[in-house]
Amino acid sequence: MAELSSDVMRGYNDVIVLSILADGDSYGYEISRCINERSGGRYPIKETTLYSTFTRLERLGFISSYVGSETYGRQRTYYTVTDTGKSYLKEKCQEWQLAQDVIGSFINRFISES
Amino acid sequence: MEHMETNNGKIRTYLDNIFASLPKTEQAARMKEEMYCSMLDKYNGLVEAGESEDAAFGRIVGEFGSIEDIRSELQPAPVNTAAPAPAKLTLPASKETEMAYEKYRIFAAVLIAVAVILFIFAPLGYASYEQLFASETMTNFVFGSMIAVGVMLCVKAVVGREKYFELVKKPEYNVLPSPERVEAYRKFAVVRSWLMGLAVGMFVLSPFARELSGSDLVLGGLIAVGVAILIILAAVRKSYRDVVGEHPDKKD
Repeated sequence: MAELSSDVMRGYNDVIVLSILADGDSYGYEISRCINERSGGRYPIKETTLYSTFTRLERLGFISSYVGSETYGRQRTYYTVTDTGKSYLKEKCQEWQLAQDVIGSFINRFISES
Repeated sequence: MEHMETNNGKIRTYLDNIFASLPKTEQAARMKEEMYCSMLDKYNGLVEAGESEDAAFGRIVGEFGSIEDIRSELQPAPVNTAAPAPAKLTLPASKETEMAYEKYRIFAAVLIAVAVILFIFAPLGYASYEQLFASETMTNFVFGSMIAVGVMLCVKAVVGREKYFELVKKPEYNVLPSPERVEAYRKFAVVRSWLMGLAVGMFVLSPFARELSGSDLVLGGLIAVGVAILIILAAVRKSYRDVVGEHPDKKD
């Protein structure tokens, strides 16, 4: 099964995390599981990638964190998307569409319909 | 759940090792803690799904990723937490500052040189004063005053030093010497070697001069002047070095 490497996905981790949080607040493990499931196992995101994304997004003000419910006596850190984060997500979606169109105009003819 | 406890240590140790080479900041500690929770959750999930403990641990380690990803996002440990340390600016020294500093140093050096002369002449000239004043009180007074004035001059020379030192040696700046100063330092170094030779000559000649003249004062005078020359030379040289740094041709 083909898998995507970190290099290829480098510019998109922010968007992926933001899109998941747009559906609701979540925490590290949940988000990682969600990415694995929704990608059908094709993007097993690394722990370090995920957490450096959290740090970056929080530093840029696109997400914020809070301490949430207790599980097994331990408190989780939950992430929530901010308004700035939502706008950034929207921008990035438009950028993705534009990139798809532009790149597609070059390589679509090589893509076999399957 | 038992398996939570048995492999708790392994995950913890793994993360401790990874984070050992990263800056020890609060940010890093928080991240380590969160990653621990997440890895533990993942581990438990795998074991519950039927994997063996070792296989589960192997998988979470395999999916850990590269430490460089974390390092690039972590801020370096701050040097002081109050304010960010300002970058060292490189400033050219202002001519006025350099001149003021050098003037001050020469002034201080002259004061000290005069003080030294007084210290030397006070006891030496004692006999002469006795003849001059023909009164013991007067002689002692003169002796005492010479010493006292010498001390005052020394104090005056040292007290003003800090202020001028500040002008040149601000720790936040790397002060660049002006090219004129560097040239002047070069020239001074040449003059200095001649003058030092002169001073040494005076020291050597002083006992002979004393024999010739039969006077202690001559001996004292030559020595005092020689010492004064050396003090002033040292002070001027220091003033150059404070501003310019090492001698430009590294000959000193």
